[in-house]
Amino acid sequence: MSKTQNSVGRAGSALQQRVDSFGRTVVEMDRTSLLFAVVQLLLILGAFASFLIQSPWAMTLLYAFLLVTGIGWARRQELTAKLLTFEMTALTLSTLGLIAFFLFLEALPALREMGLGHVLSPFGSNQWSVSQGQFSLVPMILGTLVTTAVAILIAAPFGVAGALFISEIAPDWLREITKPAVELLAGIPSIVYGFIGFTIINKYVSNLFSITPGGAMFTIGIVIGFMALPTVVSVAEDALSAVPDAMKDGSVAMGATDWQTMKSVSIPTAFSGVSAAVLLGVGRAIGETMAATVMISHSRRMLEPTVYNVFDSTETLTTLIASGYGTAPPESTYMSALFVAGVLLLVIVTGLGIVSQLIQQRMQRKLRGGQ
Amino acid sequence: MTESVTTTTDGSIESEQTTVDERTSAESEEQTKPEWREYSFAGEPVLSVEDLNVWYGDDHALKDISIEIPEQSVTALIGPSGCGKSTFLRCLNRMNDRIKEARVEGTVEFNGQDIYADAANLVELRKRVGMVFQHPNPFPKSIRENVAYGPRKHGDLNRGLVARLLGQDEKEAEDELVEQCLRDAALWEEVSDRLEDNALGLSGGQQQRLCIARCLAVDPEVILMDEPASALDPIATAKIEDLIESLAEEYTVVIVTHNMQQAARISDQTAVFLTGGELVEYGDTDQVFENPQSQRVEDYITGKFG
Amino acid sequence: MSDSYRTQLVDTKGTSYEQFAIGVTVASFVAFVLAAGTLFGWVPVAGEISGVPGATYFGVGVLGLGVATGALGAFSRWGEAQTTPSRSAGLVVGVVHASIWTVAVGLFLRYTIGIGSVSWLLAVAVGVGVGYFALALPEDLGATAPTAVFVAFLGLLFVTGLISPSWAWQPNGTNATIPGTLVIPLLTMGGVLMTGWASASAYEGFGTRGRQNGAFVLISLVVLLTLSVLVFLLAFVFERGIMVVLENLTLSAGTVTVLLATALFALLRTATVRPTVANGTDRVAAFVNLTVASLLALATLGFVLVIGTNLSISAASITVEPTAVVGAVPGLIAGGVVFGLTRESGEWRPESGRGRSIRRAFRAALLVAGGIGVLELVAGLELAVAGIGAVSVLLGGVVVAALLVAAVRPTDERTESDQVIPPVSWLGRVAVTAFLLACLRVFATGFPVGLDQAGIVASGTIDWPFITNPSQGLGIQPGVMPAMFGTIWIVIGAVTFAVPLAVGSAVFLTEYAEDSIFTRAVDIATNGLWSTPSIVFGLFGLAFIVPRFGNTPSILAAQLVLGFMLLPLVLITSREAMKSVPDEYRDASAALGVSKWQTIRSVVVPASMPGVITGVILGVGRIAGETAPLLLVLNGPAFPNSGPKVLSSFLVRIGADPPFIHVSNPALMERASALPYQLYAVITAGVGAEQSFGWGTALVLLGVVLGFFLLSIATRRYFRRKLHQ
Repeated sequence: MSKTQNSVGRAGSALQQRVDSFGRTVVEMDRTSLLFAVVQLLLILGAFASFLIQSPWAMTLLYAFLLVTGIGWARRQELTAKLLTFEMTALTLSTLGLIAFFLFLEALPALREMGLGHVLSPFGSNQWSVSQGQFSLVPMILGTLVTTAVAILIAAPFGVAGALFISEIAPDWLREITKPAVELLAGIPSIVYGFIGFTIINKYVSNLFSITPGGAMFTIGIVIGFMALPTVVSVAEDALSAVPDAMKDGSVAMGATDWQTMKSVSIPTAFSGVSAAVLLGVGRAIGETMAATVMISHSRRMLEPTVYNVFDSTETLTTLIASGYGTAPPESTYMSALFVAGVLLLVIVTGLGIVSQLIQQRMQRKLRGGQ
Repeated sequence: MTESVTTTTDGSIESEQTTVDERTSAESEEQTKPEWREYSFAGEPVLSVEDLNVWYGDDHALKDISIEIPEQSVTALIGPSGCGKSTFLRCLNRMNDRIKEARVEGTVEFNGQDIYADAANLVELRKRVGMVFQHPNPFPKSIRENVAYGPRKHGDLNRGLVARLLGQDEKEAEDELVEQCLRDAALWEEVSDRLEDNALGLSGGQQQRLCIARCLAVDPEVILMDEPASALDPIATAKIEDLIESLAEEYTVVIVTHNMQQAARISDQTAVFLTGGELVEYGDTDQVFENPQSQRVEDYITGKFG
Repeated sequence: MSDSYRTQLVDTKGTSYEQFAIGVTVASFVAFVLAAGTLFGWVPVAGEISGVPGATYFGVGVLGLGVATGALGAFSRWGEAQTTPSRSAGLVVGVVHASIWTVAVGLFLRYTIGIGSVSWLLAVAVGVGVGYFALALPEDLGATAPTAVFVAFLGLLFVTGLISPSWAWQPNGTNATIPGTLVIPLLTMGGVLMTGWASASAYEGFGTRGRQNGAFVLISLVVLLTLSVLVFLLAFVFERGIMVVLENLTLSAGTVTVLLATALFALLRTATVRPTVANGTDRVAAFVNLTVASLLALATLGFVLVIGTNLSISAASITVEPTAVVGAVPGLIAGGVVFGLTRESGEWRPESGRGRSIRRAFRAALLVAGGIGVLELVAGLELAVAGIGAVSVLLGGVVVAALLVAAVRPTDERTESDQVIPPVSWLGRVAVTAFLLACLRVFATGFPVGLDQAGIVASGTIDWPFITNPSQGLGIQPGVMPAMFGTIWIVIGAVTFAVPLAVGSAVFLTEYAEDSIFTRAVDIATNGLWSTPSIVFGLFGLAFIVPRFGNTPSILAAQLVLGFMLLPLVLITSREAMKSVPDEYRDASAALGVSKWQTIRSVVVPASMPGVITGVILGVGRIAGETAPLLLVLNGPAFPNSGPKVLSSFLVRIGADPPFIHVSNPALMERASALPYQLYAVITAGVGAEQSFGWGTALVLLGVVLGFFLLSIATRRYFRRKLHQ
């Protein structure tokens, strides 16, 4: 209790200090500089605001801003540079907020009309039917769950094995080849995977299992798993390489084998980093769009005959958006429901990304503190 | 001929002679070799090194090192930084294998067995030749787990879920071993009540003594120490030094240090490495410090360089 | 202490036990590859080989491996083999065996024998029992016996035909039938992985080193398998697409020779090709370089022969004309590369008066040639027709002659005082300059230089329909030109938008901002953006950007959306690069009284440039292949017949209504296509006959993306090497 009070107090005093120093900076500036700074900030804020409300004045204000910045650059470069970079940072920061805000804004009509319960609760009708105005996302959530589960069964063990291989097992020359190869594989466009899946794998699988053609969920899961694999490998490998060599040397110098060192020192020490990698892989698998879009059947119903039948095909959240945007009339509940799916994806995947980043940072802090 | 060379003490004179004396290349090669007083001791050497050469890439880090190290004694390796003494130490349990681009030639025999043979058993070697590093490097585990790490890994202590399932848990044996090793490392008094705490919470000196305890738990024959006190304050250093002296009763200790007073205080024999990776002098510590054979060593010891 | 001498420090290698163990490992690996081959249809499992069903071979092999594994354990326990097994095989082995046995026995009882619900109870009992034995027995038995029995059991199932290729299993609650042709190879693969692991462990005599060996063999196998699947995919796309992309390609041998020779020159100048001196990775690279260099040299020689013998080559719709004409554009590229590579060398400062006058003469000739080129451009084409431009060719001839003379003259005759003959490097540079000038002239005026059979021409030396043609609908003429230009414009726009923003933010965050809530928020936001799915960016574009720019999907919207995606990537890499600039640099600059912004501008940003550039290239590679957002914000015609004409449609108008200065570009506001989008269009068009077009597009797309990736690696290496010099 007192600890939290302390930290709050510390944060408060830090804030106080910062405000003070800011105040001092403002006071110490000469009048012309102050004028420049204020005008510049006001102009860019105005331009941004009028862009948001779609006012035709946005461009005018932007021109004025550019003019003032140009003058400032010539006369007070030091100050202008600092302001300009600050404005750029603020704009970057605002992007995530803008994305969240506008997605939610567009999703609101559907939520208002259908109710959050109907859209998300699995105990309702679970029906997506445009003609009947039923927009339950449950089938899509199920689809995403199933494909992600299959994908992560591939990506997590193989990814961690790959990371171990690159960071600890492979000889130097092989590591120098495999590491960039993995990065390269991460860069293969998903539509290329989709094309192979669509033309080759779908047919092969439907023949093999005597099922109707059209993207069995587990096939899509496997393809997505292979696509998420490089991400898991490279992030997990980073975490494993962050374990100090001195620690591993200590183990090996006592006669432990490299494998024992990995199991007892490297993996436990890097455990949080490795799990962050898997989380990121889960995020990638959930957010993957194109490969699934071109392989899946888009039937938008629950899996049959059982909800865990991975040989059936339905729709995932991402493929719903990719396939629905074309047929959905603007301003309709249908379109808005697509945005609900987008909000879900944003919250889950971006959240996973942030959580995984926080975990990695914590691990690095701990390792630094431990040395 | 050889007599005259043996008395040569200064490197520069030696090289001058080489240019004068160019009759046969074999002879001149013999002359350029560093010379030291023959050091003989009773009994078989634990470690005997012959013509050891180490390269890091193109850098020739150790040149033609030959040395024999007697049992149950403290051997200090001293020399200015960058002279290869740590490299030499890491050759004795093949930790150099873990450094990229390191290449080792020559033979190192441990109790008469060549540890650089192709089929050498590194696990067994490192069990018998333990090592303590310059910076304390405990594992991010509890103090108990740190000490018991080696024996558990080697299957000497049966702990964990499997052992409990099969009813073969050896907790008492482990308790005994942990206590014994921590006592030997003079750490028991300080940590006996918090064995389950994370070792990273200990002070630097305590961590280093924990690393020594961890090393003792494997029951090695030789303990290699790479400037174990360089990162510590004077009080912790004194504790470590006392510890090393007491260890020599049971173990063979080879210690690298750049602190000459420390070497003089704790070691039985001293080997001096000088820049360029040469072993210039090796003998009883008293003799090396009071009456060095080589002028360069004398300059180094009296502080004229290094 | 004497106890520790029990184990020898140096092993005796090559015992028959070890040979047997390694034999089992290798056999397991072979069986694994064969089983994987059946999945691809390379190895028959359903058919018969000399009267015996294919499945029986698998059965016999697996049975044999199981028995062999059992023998390894037995020899270790009761035989003469010198092994050092631990007391127990370990928890993981126990749990794995318990679960494998539970599942296997359960499925067997349930589906093959046909016992009802009791079967699972029975299976769990068996599994727990096997797990207990694996734990309680000494390691050499615990690791091998359950494996051996299980694998031998599998083999028996195949041999007896209880599981045959025609056997099929329909799992409850699904609509699929799992055929024996899949089950046999899958079970074989699983079984031989186990025998491979156990025998690898036995090879090192069990114990800690045995477990390490087993684990490493298993992990390496799995990783190599995964990698080979991915490499196979790449090779597959290449194999399917290459002929489509190269269809009707016509090249002139002259152009090819010049390009190949330039590549060879570049390789020899920049890379190590001597495998003897380097070690480690450099050695591998040197071997690769040497091979590539030899191949390039051979090919160059081959094409010179083609020109000499006047034989036109024509293979699979690719034609090489045996003419020595060089295209102006390839010539400019090649000349530029050579010019850039010889930037450092080629200085000549002659001592003697004659040498200086020769140098002056060469420079004057170059100047004249350049001047004539400019004159031709300004005065119009009549002069060009008159063929004055041939001067540059003449100049080139003179230089080549001088080069030959210099080459013939022995090196030791050239002393310091006698520098009448210029050094070869300098002559070469003059020759390249002359060549560049000639190419430039041809490129600008369109009139060829030289003879019909050997010279420089404006166009026609490379005719590559797939890259340079628009596709005129499906089934007529495949071509990716409009899509290619779409991608290029989108990437240019995204880079212009995102890179300054990202670099500016990185400067602020690393140089100005103190660690605070603000910087932490930016950190979280960038990482959030980095992991946000691309389709969400597309939705954002649809909701935010499209309504504000003409209310229609457009190139501009795509540029901005992909720019937003590029932003976090470049920001993260730029920040890393700036953080890694040592503080000493900043302190040194500040200590000289240089202001903070000047320090940033002249020290921090230049020092971090390599990292920033690498990050940008890597990011561009990512967004160039991005498809999902384009569906929503670009959404053009599937197969447009012309590329967007962005450059020619900028309009600036000043009016009385806000914003007073109207800058517009209708081409940017139109829908368009892009490479990944076109691939998607091929898929959704769903005409089977046009799949080859898709493979071609996929290959070009892969080429673009991987090209960016290789470029980023090359940049990184270049800067690293420059730093170490």
